[in-house]
Amino acid sequence: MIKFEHVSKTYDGKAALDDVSVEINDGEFVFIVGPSGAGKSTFIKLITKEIEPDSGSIFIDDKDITKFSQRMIPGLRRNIGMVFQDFRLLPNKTVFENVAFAMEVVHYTRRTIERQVPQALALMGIPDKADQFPDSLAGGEQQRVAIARAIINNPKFLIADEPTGNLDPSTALEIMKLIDQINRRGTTVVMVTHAKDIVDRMDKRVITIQDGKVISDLKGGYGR
Amino acid sequence: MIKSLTYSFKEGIKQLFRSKVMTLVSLISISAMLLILGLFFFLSVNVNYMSDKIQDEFNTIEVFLKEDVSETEARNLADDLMKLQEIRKIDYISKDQAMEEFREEWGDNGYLLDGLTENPLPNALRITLEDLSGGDIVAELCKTTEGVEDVRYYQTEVNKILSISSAIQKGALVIIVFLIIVSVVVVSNTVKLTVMAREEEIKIMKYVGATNWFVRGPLLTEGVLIGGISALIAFGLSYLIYDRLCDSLSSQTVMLLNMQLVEPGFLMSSLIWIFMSLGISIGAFGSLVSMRRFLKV
Repeated sequence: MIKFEHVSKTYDGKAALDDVSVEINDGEFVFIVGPSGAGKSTFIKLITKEIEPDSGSIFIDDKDITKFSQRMIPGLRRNIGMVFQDFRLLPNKTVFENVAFAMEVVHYTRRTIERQVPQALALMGIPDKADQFPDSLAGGEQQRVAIARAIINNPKFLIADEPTGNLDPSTALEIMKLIDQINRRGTTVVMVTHAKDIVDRMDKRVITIQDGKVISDLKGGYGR
Repeated sequence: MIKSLTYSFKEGIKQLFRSKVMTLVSLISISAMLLILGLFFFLSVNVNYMSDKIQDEFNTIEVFLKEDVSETEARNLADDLMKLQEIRKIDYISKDQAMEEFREEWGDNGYLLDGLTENPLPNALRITLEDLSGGDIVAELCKTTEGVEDVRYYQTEVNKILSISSAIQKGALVIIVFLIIVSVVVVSNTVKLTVMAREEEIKIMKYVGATNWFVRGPLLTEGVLIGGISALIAFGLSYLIYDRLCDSLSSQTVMLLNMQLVEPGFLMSSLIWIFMSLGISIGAFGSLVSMRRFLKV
């Protein structure tokens, strides 16, 4: 569960989020939509505690993370898989190493890593790319690697920030299928996007943010 | 705990080889810094050694006695003087002994002294001082003592040499401190470049829930290894240079002031510790300082 209670955040006097209250339940699939600069990225950065709200509380599984100390941040993030528009893969590591990296951080043994990474790559439909470097892959394949990295530690939440923004429509659709599949396995998905067609097609809960306020929170298509 | 230590170590070593140019630049700059530092250390130690030797050689006052002072009178005088705290010991040097010494000093040219029909040298007392600071008082006292013809004491010369040597030592110390500061700056800058090149990596590490120490570990290992290896390189080079210097100085037949350098063996055992501790702390400090900014994600 992710719960925002009267959360406000200002940057240089300009409100990025203004008294936002939202609750996302376990297992949900939620789109966050809205124009650029409306506060969508702020929303995500608050969940991962990359930034702090000016006021209000943010609960993850009934724990107020605004009260977390710096030392508790790693534990929080290990429960949240992150996927970005620009993939954020390490160019000097192979696909395998990029995914294994997330497991090393949590101190899994070599043996577990060598068993689970290929499984995750297979699940993402790229079992044969393990030894390649990200630069030699197509955009969609890179995003698959990034998603494999995000879910390798079985996080409770998957946060995706414009995951299809750099992909062509058909590849974007394939990525959406993967994310939907992950959601069906029980992972709560929060996805920020601009892609109207994808939102319409998926038919999920849509939270629209504009000028730092939630202006609609409905099940169904984009901005209805 | 052990797992994360081995992880840090493995990643640190991997990184050394992955960013070869950076590693090389850091190695060269720290080694060079330590090497220069080592040369000033040699200078400082040897100047200190020489000034000690000069003090030892010149901490004597020669008191020349009048012709009519007998040996017994001279020895009584010596016993009186021994009451002074500044004096370590007093030797009575008869004119014959003085001539012997003279002949020895002249060495091969000693035959020139054979031409003398009469020994022109006076009987003397040779006073060895506890340390140079008491020299003035004793010399003054001796001058006014009855039966003393003349007093010879190289006070001004010795003082001059001592003040020069202490100036050199102070200068060396200032330069050493300056070099340490410069090398910390150089290292933290090189590591900063390495860290900046890996800013993205660090960010991603933090996103997947890495603790700060997990990020720091490999970089710290890298810094420590670079520091340690640089220390070894600098040590090797300093050893070679110093060894050569000692050899070439001792093979020189004509020598000024009986110049001799401190034994390499003794110097080197302390130098390796100095280099190691400096190199490692410079490496560790440099990497920790340069990382700080990047951990705030």
